[in-house]
Amino acid sequence: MREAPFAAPTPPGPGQTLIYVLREDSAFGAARKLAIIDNDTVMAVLTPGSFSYFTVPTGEHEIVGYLSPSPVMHYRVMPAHGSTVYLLCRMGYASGMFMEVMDEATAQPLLARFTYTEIGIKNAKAKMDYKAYYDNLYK
Amino acid sequence: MRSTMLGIVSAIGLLVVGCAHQINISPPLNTLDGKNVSRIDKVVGYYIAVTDRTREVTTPGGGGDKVKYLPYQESEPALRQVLSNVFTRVIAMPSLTDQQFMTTNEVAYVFVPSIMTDSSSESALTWPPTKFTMTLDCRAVDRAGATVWQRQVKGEGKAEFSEFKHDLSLAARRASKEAFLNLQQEINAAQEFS
Repeated sequence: MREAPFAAPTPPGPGQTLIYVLREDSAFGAARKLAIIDNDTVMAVLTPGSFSYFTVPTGEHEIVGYLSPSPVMHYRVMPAHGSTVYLLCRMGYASGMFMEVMDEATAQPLLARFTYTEIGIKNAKAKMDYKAYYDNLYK
Repeated sequence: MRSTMLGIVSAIGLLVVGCAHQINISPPLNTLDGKNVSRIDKVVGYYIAVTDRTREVTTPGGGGDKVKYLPYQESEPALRQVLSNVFTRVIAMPSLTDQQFMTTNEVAYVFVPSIMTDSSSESALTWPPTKFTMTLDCRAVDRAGATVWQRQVKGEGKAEFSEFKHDLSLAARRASKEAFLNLQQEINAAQEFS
């Protein structure tokens, strides 16, 4: 994982969804890196006050926050062609530990303040398909 | 020296006991399935008052701690989803009395939810609730403002440590999922909207 200069991504085209994931800037669990997984693929690794983004084919995507050795938060992105989704990973003692969707107006000030990160292992396979895992948790 | 120690112990006590932890009660939208629903070709709206939207509720968790959440704001995507499963178009209403808005947008009915929640935990060591209940009282009004339909539905969610360690809001989300699926069933079965 490395910090990198942020260049705004190409807007999502038809059949694409652009997903930004931000991690709350909190001292809670600050030493632990949070891996961001899309269904079964590692897309980003976040530290407090950092963010990343990735474009996926439009469809259902289980976006998971993974704190070794297990997933600790998730959000199911639903199909929406050409849309941009902003997800905030809340990680604080009192602010909770969950992933929530934000609107663009809320996300933009955080994107301006947070650090953009990239990883070398992008698209590596995770231990399992978390979409199926969370489907089972809610059956 | 003794008073300093007492102060430190009190501060630590305040930090670790009775804290309210934020959870999120939105069920995953893919769990609100509309497969067995007969679609009604009507435009409907829903109304959540600004004061309700920002209302934070605190209920018991485990180990003497509490959980806090925004029941109306966090339930809005689920309400929109179940209404979208039943009706062809769903609009968020800016007001309950704006008849001009209803006429212009051809809104046939406006749904107004009232949400009551409670939670508890059997665990003394972990704060997330192991049991959560949601009672959803929902009424529908027509363009004249008359209540044409009203039902109360409930949802209950339970979660053990082995499950909620992967989603600390799990019991609450299971409860809201059940409540909104029950609401969908009631709306779909109602003769008033056919």
